[in-house]
Amino acid sequence: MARVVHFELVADDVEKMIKFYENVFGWKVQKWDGPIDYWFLMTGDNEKLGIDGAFGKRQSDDDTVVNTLDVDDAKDISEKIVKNGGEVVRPVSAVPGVGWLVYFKDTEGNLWGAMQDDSEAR
Amino acid sequence: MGRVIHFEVPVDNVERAEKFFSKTFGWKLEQQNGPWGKYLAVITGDASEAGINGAFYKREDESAENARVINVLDIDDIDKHVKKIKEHGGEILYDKMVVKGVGYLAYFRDPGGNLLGMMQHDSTAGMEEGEK
Repeated sequence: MARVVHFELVADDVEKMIKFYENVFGWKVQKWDGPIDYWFLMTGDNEKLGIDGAFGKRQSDDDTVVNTLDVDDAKDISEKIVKNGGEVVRPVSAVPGVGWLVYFKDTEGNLWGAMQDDSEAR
Repeated sequence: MGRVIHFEVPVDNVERAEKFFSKTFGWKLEQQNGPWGKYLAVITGDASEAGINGAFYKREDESAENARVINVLDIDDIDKHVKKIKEHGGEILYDKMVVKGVGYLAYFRDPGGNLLGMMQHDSTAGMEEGEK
């Protein structure tokens, strides 16, 4: 099974976004040390039920909240997505040092990510 | 802290969505009696593993508010958080409402325009004295 393990939000004004979540919900924000501008959102105690997330800068007006599922095999899942009536929006690509990520739409038009963890991904 | 503990997915066709998510990802749907009638809980995996469960809701129309995946945060005091959201540049879309026997729920937009929900759990919410 593929659990929802991560969420992504979008922001126009990075500073405003960081202040909002720090002040209102006590989240911790940490900029990713990776090739794109991406800020991790730590929402609380990892031992407790719940997930952490991140936000990036808005690339288009259509950008929305995207949840990511944890999968064993991103390529295999991509085939299953298409076979079962979904649509691959962005084919499997490497997130350096993190894993293999595919973005897809479900049959209802909602956008999701599916990530296969792999620290060797390049 | 307001941890993200739940997600809500808008669907037009419940059977179609169920088929897709069960065949592709092994998700299970459970009909539960919710505050607004039938409620379709989505079980994404073993509760002992990291991750969260969610629910499907019927898409009412194509407006942005009703056509998005919405994540719900677990908070301890909804009145306090409604106030704080307004103070810090967020916007309350649906103010505190009672979900009988579950708690208090509100929806808001953050400064990035993202739509989220927040829930203060309280099993006595909306209950008459005798029901508690």
